[in-house]
Amino acid sequence: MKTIEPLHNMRNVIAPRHALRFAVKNTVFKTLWYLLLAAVSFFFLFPFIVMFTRAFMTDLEVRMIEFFPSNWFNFDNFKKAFDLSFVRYLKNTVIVVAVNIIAVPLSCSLCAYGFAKMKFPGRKFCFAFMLSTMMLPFVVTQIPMFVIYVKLGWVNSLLPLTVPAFFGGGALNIFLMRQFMRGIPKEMSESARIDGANHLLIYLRIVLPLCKPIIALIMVQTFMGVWNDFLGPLLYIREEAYMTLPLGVFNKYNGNTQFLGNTQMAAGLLMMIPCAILFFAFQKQLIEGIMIGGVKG
Amino acid sequence: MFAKKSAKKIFSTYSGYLFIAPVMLGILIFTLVPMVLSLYYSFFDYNVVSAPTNFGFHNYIKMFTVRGENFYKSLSVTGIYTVIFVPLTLVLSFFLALLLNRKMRGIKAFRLLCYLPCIIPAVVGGLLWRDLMNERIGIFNRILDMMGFEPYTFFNAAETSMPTFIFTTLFGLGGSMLLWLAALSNVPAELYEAARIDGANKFVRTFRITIPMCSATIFYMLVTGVIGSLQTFGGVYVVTGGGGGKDNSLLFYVMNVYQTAFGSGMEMGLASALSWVLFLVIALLTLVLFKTGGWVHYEDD
Repeated sequence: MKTIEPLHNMRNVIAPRHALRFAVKNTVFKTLWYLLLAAVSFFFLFPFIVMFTRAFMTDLEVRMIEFFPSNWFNFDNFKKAFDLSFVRYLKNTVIVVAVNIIAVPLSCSLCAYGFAKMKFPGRKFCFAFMLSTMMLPFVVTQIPMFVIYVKLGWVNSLLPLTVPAFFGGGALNIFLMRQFMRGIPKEMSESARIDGANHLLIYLRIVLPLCKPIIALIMVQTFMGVWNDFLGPLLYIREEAYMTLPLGVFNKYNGNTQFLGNTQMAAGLLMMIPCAILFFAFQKQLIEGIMIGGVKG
Repeated sequence: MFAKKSAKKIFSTYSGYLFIAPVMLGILIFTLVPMVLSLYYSFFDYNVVSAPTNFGFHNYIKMFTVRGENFYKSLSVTGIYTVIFVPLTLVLSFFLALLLNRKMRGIKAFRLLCYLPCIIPAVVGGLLWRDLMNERIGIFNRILDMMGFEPYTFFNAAETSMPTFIFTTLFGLGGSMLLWLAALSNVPAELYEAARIDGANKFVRTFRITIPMCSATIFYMLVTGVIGSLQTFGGVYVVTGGGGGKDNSLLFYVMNVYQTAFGSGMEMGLASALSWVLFLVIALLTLVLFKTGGWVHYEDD
């Protein structure tokens, strides 16, 4: 039997006693919902809880499989993890990230400007073509790229991790930036054109300054992506001197019985600090970016 | 005078190419040329050091015969993973999104918490899981022991490796949860109101309104999920320490390609052939998904 459910606010008007029962039911429901949320949050927080507790434990506590460190101010593991090799990886990572966060917004904003603000034959085709390269699997290109880098003598250097950034920028970034630039009113660039400014000038003086929010987002995303990139370094770097943090940390701690979980987690936490700070500072924009990416795709 | 003007006009017609030139050049150098080269290598024996030799289809035959064992193993591992992982992620992240799609105090903080594990780099995740799932001094076995269960073998036994790996990927549900939330917020509230008045219960409303209205997002997650899981590599590499896991129980397709190309054999030709086969499989599956995508509802704008 289907009955028509009265609207919630109607209940208050018609039957106050029912309204009270409804309020109680609502509170119970809400409490249960929060309990469920808490349980789910615990699941997702679990990796972090483990990382933090492990990083402050002594070797003995790790071997005894304790849940919590006895001394929360035991920074020995962090000192041990922050050694000379960590500093070397950090230096390489900073170089690679610095080049990428400049080069990626530069190349993708230039390209987005061309697609958003200029007319030329084959524009639509070029744009579709560029987007479709996003779908191509990296597996097919990784072997020839390795061969090319060997021939160029770029293997075991930071060049394979930096130079391509000047010629790319990521199809999704270009797409988002083009959308953003299309939102800039035509009148602004048109009036500049009448004053005799060319496209390069308009791009530099008018469009780029207006694109600051999206450029900042792309820089943050690039920073996080490059900082944590493992595959690129894994393929092209074998010598420890050129390793970046993800590869270096993996290479050093993987299967190395000399270091227990406590030092490994300390190294992992140290490595995560910059990205964690950026994530919390830009969480709103980053999360919106992911959502928009899904809706547009 | 006339020539000068037309030269200027030609420049203004084609100057757009200058802006897109770096990226287009990049696509040519870093994508198209390597793809063609990869196809070329796949017909040769090639180890980088000496020039490609012995032209023929032998690599494409070899993968099914002499090297068939690893090839079939990697196909089944990748296939099983994809068939389990993609629907599991879709369903679980849907429930997660439903849980978080309520207007309640602090709901944004809960959303953030659920997304948080996605910022753990693969390498750190690898170290973490191997530490937690250590058979002797891992926390998981300690907890199991306290609850009176036998210790679990995790990555140390062939049968338990895949379930363990899938378990670790569940911590990344936050990403798809955000996509679901974005889709849910786009469903017009009037539809639910109308259905409520017509007497549709919650279950019916979910299946008749929510899911059809989110079909574009579901389709997007399906396609990217399938393409992504067929190419699973980094996440496995860090938990297996660069191999196929115990008895090759985690020998994913790309792992097999990697070992063939960068292992001691340096068989770039065979590895290129393998990667082209994967490329064709992905292309074909994507095509099939798009052809059968009639159930997808796109909002016309």
